[in-house]
Amino acid sequence: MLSVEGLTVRAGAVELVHDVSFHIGPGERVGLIGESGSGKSLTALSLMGLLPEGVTAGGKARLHDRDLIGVPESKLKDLRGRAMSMVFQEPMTALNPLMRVGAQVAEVMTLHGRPRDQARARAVELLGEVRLPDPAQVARAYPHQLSGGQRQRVMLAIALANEPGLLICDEPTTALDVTVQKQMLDLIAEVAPALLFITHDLAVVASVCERVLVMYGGRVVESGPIREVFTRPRHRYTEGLLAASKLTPRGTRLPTIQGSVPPAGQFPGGCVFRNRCPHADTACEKVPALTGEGHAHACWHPADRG
Amino acid sequence: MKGRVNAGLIAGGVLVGLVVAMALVSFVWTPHDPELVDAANKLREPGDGYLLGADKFGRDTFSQLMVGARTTLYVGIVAVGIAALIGTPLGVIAGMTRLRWLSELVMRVNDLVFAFPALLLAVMLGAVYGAGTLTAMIAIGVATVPAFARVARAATMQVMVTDYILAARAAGRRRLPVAFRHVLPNIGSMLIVQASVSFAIAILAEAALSFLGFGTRPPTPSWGRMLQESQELLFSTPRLALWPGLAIALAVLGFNLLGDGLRDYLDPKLRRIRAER
Repeated sequence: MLSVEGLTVRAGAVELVHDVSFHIGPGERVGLIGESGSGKSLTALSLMGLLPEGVTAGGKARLHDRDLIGVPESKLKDLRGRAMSMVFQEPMTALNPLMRVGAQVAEVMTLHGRPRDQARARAVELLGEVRLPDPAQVARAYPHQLSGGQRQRVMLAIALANEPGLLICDEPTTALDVTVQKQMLDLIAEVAPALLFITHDLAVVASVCERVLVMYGGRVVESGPIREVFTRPRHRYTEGLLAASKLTPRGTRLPTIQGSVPPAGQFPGGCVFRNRCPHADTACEKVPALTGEGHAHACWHPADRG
Repeated sequence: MKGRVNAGLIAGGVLVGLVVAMALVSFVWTPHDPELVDAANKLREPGDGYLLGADKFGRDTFSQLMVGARTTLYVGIVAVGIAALIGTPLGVIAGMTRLRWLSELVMRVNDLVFAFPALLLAVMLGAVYGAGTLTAMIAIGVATVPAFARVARAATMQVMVTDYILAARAAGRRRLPVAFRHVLPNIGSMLIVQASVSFAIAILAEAALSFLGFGTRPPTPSWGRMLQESQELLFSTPRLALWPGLAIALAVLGFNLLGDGLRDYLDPKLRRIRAER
């Protein structure tokens, strides 16, 4: 349904996302994980055609039979919010503070041709479907009268309003309390059609997605079914990421990945991870290709299948 | 999401309210006919039905002040209206467009107008089209456009980077509806504050123009012209200059206080800073 082929995002001469390819089938839930600055959000924004000024995307991305990259914004407008929609990270700022919540949900429907009164009624239904108690009252509230979790549900209702084929969630639970997070994730997993889920939280990915793409330095370094990747990581970055997220016994050193993510444009040539990788040697000066059917990895010294 | 009412807001509101009240009452009642020339009352001292006395033509000063308030507000409203109607769209366009050159073009033309003295513009317009309230209003209005365009652009740029604009675009909203539904309401409070401050400047400009003879034409009373007519009697009858001067000063002060007060009242960030102190 969504196929991305060689997606590259650049700001001037600096390449921020390099040659990313993946595919999402109908009803499939795919996670995109990586540290801050790894290019996850840019990948998502480029699919929506919402890249910030001065940042351009190249390569190919098709949703059903429509090209998403390299077409003018006016051609994307009827796709956005209808064929694909997006939930943003920050529920505190993603709603217009001066509009009632119900009106904001209804707006995306009238926008794509639904009569106003029908849209209003459907908005209240939708607010109920995302498990907001007393949806009629929530519809009349202004955003500041709702909590973060409630607002994020409203965002989800807006995203689902036109029954899109693809839902993109950019760290939708990062700003929420842990208790609310779980409910929100269950809800997303339940209502989402096909899903592209962006996060840096491994546990979250594990609970929502079936397949996962690991990004580092603007490249996909490993991809595959979630169980495979999480139990038998091949790429050294994924391995480090998983080790760092495990609970360790008291008194032992917390495993970390040494160093930090370099600023955009200053990743090493060859394997982008080699300056932080404990297994790096001269072979890593050449760019490793993403190889392998199903469970693929781009590493010269992959961890053994254990 | 409304702030606490502050002292400046109240004081400004009261002063502006007084001016507005005076202007409104003058439509139905004034103590005397403000334009009636009456030799018998020439330079009449205050008292006995003439609250603030009469001028050299025997016209009641208080009645003139009341009707003058009308002129002042009229000029202020039209001038600020012109400035807001032209300046706001320009600023919003400059703030929203992704064409850098368009934004730059609008702002540089803006700077050009900004650099041109308002009074000079008014005097020139007056010389070409004839002096009068209308030319004064247009000149003041045009000269105030850049102030609005700048504020609107800065505020728009602030709003444009928020997630709800991104979300609106993600939902497929076109540019014009985004401007009307999301940008304008959210920059409204800034514009209201700007309008209030611009109003004070417009009042001052109108008074100056009338004083120079390029503003409101006789016999329509105007505070600026009252000042001018009192000039030759400044040392013998200073009260004739005192009252219109005081009226101008208080009206300008009132609108400035109102603007400051509204800014504090409408800006949640500033309020938080105050509260933390």
